[in-house]
Amino acid sequence: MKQLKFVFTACWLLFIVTNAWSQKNGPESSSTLGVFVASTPCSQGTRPLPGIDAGEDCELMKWHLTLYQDVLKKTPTIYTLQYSYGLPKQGTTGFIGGGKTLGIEGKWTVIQGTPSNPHAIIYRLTDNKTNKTISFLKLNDHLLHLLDDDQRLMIGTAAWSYTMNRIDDK
Amino acid sequence: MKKILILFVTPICSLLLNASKAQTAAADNKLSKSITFRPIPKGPSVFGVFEGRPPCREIAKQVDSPASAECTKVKWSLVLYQDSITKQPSVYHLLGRFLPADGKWKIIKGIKSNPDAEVFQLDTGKPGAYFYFLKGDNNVLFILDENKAFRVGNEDFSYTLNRVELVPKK
Repeated sequence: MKQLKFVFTACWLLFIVTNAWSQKNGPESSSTLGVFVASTPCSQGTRPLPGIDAGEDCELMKWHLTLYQDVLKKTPTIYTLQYSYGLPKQGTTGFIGGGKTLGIEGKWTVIQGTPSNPHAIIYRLTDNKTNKTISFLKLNDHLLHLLDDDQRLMIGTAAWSYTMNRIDDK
Repeated sequence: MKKILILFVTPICSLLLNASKAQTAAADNKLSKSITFRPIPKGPSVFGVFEGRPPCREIAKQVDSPASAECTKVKWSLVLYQDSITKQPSVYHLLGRFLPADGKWKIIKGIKSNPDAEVFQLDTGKPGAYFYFLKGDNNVLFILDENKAFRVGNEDFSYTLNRVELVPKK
């Protein structure tokens, strides 16, 4: 019994330590991998990000995603994602009333392969607060495309697409 | 013992519960409806209707066409036709600027980063000059440049066309 207690306590301590270690990878040890932006559709059924209530008006979303990587190892560390949403203002690229702005941040990882393409490179972002994830297909170093929960390309509309464009190195 | 189990199991259960996806469900990733005043192309000779609003100036430059500073985007509606029996690509019809309204198209293989990629090659009316779209999947096309390389958009517009369902204006 004493041995079992010891094993459980050791596991628990290990969990706490590894969790704290993984949270520590802040921007101070990271460099920017890229800044990606997009204007995408948003509808009752397609709300890819948390924090938008079902009753809120949302037809357009503007994304500003910054991916960071470890300075030395060049491995994914954290991301910040700011997004604004609302109803589009006719004849402009903005929102009626300016829209609402939210943000999430957390860790991101690189995953190899989707059900339809074993060579695909997927960027998976996890929200720190909710643990919810969103995934992008990497088209190249400058383009990402949002995926649905079956890892298929999100289909846009006549007006907006789900392709994210890199802006930091132009 | 009971206390230890609770201490151990509770955080694991909470982690599993929170590890849900924020992403759009595959069931909601559907073709959007696009209203049209024109007759809607139908039948087995229609390969698909793709629409989007890519940035203007780079496309104008590719086809040696003048574009004003105010030209920020082009509205394109592309109908691809196929032979109704052999299903081979036949002609296209484009509503929008910079490309001929009608022409032939075919499917070729390969871009620099992916020799197996499917590329839709549209005739521009000039000998040896073509316009290229990379097939992302059945519903999403990426507009390529004259060298079959990806084009990078901006915060408002992407070089992407999406399959749409045309519906008549009521």
